[in-house]
Amino acid sequence: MKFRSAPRRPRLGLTACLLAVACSRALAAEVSADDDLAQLPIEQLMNLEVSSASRYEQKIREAPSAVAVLTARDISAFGWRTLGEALASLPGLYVNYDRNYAYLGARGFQRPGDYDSRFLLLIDGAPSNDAVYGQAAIGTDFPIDVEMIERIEYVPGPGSAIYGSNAFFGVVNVITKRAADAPGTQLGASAGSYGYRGGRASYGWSGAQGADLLLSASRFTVDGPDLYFPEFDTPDSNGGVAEGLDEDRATRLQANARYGEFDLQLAWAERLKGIPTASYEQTFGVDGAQTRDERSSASLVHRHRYSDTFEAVTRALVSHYEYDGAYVYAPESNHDRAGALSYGLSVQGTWQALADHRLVMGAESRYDAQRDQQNYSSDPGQPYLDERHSGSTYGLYLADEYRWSPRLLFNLGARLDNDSVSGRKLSPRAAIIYAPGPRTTLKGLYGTAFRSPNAFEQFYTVEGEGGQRGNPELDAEQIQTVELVLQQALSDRAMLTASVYTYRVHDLISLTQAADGMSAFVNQGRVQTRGAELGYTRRWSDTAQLRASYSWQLAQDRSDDRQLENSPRHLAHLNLSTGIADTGVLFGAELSAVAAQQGQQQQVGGYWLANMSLSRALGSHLQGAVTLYNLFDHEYAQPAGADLLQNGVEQDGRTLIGRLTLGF
Amino acid sequence: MRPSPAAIAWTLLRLGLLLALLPTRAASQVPEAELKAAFIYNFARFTQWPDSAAAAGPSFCIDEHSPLTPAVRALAGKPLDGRPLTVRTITADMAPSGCRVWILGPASAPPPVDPQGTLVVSEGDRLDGRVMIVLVLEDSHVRFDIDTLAAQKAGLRFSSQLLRLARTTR
Repeated sequence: MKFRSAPRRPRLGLTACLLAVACSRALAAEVSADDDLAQLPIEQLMNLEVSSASRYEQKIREAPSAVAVLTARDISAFGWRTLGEALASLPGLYVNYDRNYAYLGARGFQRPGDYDSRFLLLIDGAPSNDAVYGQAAIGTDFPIDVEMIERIEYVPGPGSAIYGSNAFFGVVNVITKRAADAPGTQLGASAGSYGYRGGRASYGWSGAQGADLLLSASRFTVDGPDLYFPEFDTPDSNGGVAEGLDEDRATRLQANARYGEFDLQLAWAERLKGIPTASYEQTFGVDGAQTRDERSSASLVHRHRYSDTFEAVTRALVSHYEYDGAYVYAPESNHDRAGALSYGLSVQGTWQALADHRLVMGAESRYDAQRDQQNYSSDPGQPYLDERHSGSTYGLYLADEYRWSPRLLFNLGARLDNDSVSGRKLSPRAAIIYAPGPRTTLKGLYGTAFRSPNAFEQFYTVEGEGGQRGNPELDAEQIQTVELVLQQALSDRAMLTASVYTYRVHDLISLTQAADGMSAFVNQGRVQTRGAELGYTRRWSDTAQLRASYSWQLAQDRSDDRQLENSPRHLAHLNLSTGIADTGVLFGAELSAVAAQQGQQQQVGGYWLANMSLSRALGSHLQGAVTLYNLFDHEYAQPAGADLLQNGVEQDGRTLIGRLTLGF
Repeated sequence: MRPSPAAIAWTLLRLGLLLALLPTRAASQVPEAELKAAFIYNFARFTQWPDSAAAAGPSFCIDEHSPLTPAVRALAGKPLDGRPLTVRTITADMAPSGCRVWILGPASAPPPVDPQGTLVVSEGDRLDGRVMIVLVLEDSHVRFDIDTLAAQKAGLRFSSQLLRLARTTR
C-alpha cells in the first residue's frame, strides 16, 4: 500500500447557544413610524429595527483586542457562501483551499497540511473544534448555513487566557440568528455556475416570556469545474484533467429553542466532497475519492442573574464528529476514518466585585470519550491503523477588568489548564486600554496561548516507506505575543485602526522526516512573525459603508530566517456595500489582493480577486440576489500541503450564483 | 452522544407542529432617534429616584448637539410619575441636579460633577464613570449597557426588568 501520511481530517460538532444579549423578544405587532414609540413596552422596543445603522459599539472599543465584526447584512451584501469567505475579508486573514478543505491563515501563519487547529471556532459561544484533529471547519463543512448567521466576531491574537487550547492565533465566534432575526417562514432556492443548486427553509417564532424557536434546514450541491493539473499531464492520466471529480454537497439541520433563562440548540450537518487532486499519491483522474464529514451537537445553556452584580452562564455540550475518507489506489481503495465524541460542562460568572473591578471567572471541563482513528483497505477487520483513545481537560480562569479611571482600563487574566495530553499549562494575558480623548483608544496587549497536540499528531501511525509514525510524547506548542493597537474615530462615521505586533511561537508541532523515510510530528519549530495592519471603516449614509485594510506580515523560521510557506507578505481587502434608498436594492463589491506565497516546491503567484453582488426586493415577499465571484475570471492558484503533488491548486473561474428567498 | 437522524427528525417534527399553530411576526423599521428617545423615556419609568429628586417636576435635559434632540423634545408633555414631562437644553452653567435625566450626545462632555439623583444617559462608545446607561446600536437594534455603580453613587436604582434587558451590566 502506498500512501504517505494518509488522510486525516477532522472535527466535531458544535452547537449552539448563546451568550449574547439578554433580550427577551416579546411578541411585537407591526409598528409604523407614526405610532407613539414611547408608549410601547421596552421588550417590544428591543425588537424594533432602526432604519439606519451607524457608529461603533462600545464593547469593541473596550475589548482587549482589535476585534472585528461581520453581520448578516454583510453576508447578504457580499453573497458569501462560507464562513471562510467572510473571514477572508478581515485584516490579516486569508484562506487557502486545496479543493477538499479550506484553511485559514492569520498574520502570515498557516501550516501546510494542518487543519485549522490553531483557531478556536465557537458557535454561539460553544467550542466546535473536534477532538481528533482540533479542526475549525470554515469551508462548506461548517455546520451552520451562512444564511442563519447573525454575526461573526473575530478576536485576533492568543485567547488561551480565557479559552484554553486551540485559541492560538485567534478566536472566531459565530452567533446564529434567533427567531426574531428570521421571523416566519422563509424558503430559499439558488442556482449557478458549475452545476450549483441549493435550497433552504426556515421557520422562526417568538412568543411571550422570551420564548422563541427557530428551525432551519438547507442543502446544496455543486458539481464543480473540470480541473487541469500540469503535474499529471500525461496521456494515461487524461492529460492532467480531472473531470467531474470536484463535487461538493452539504446538508444542514438546526433547531434553536429558548424559554426564559434556558437555551437549547441542536445542529447536524454532513458534507461530502470529491477529491480531484489525487492527494496522498492516489490514482489520478479516477472517480470515487471523497471525504465525508459529519458533525452533530446539542447544547443547553442556562443564564441567570443572581444579583445586581453577579451573573452566571452554565453550558452543557455534547458533540460528535465523524470523518470517513475514501482514497483510491486503483484498483484498491483505502479508507481513513476518525470518530470524536466529547462531553463538556462549563460555567462562567461575571461579577462586579468592587466599584471599579469587573471579574470574569469560569471553570470548564471536557471529556473526550472518543478520539479514534482507523485506516484500512478492503477489510475493516484488518486495519493498518486502529487507535482508540480518550482524553480529558479541565480549565479554571479569572480575568479582571479594572477601571483605574474613566479613561484607563486594565484587563488582566490567566487560565490554568490541566489536560491528559500535555499536563498543566498556565496562560496569562494583560491589556492596558487608554482613551486619551473621546475619539481615541490606545491598547497595549500581551498574550500567551498553547495548543495541545491532537490525536492525529499523537497517534496516527501507518508503517512503510513514506508512512507516518505517531508521537505520543508530544508536548503542547506555545505562543507569546505583544501588540499595540490604535483606534481613532475620525468622525462619528469613520474609524481608523492601526496595529503592530510581534508573535513568537516555540515548540511548534512540525512534521519531520526520519532516516527510514517515515515521518513524525515533533516539537521543534520556532517561528517569529512581525507585522502591521491598517484598517479603515466608514459609513457615508445609513446604507453605504466601506471597509478597507492592508496588512504587512513577515513570518520567519527562526532557525534559518526563511519566510514560512503559505505566508503572503502583503494582504489587502476592500469591501464596499450600499443600499439604494427606497428601492430595496443592496449592492456589494469586494476586492482582495494576496501576495505570492511559498509553496511546497516553488512560489505560488500572488493574485487579486473581485466579487460583486446585487440583491433587491421583488415584491413584498420575494427577495432576489445575484453574485458574481471572480468577476474578471482570473486564473489563480493557492498553495497546498505536502499531501498534494501540486505546488499550487487551481481555483474557480468566474462563477455566477442567483438566489431567491420567499418570506411570509 | 450524537443525536441520531431519527431523533433529530422527531424533534423537528414536534417543533414544527408546535410552530404551525402559532402566529408569526415581522420586524419593523423605525427611525433611530425616535426609537432611542422611546428607550430613554422607558428608562425613566423603570428607575427609582431618591425622594429629593422626585419632589421636583420631571424634566429631561439634553445636549443641543445630540442627534436625539428633536425626538426627545417630542416627549415633552408625556406623563412621568403622573406629572407632565418638560424638556430643557443643557447650558454651560447648568447643574445636573435639576434634571431627572441628563442626555449626552456621542461627543458631549460628561457632567462636571458626580450627579446626585440624575440619570445620565449617553450614546455611542465612551469610557466614563459618570454615565449610567449607554445606548448602542447592534445589528440595527438598539441595545443598552448599564453601569449600576454609577447609578448607585447617584442614589438611583433600576428595576430588575431593566437590568435583565441590558446587554451588559457593570
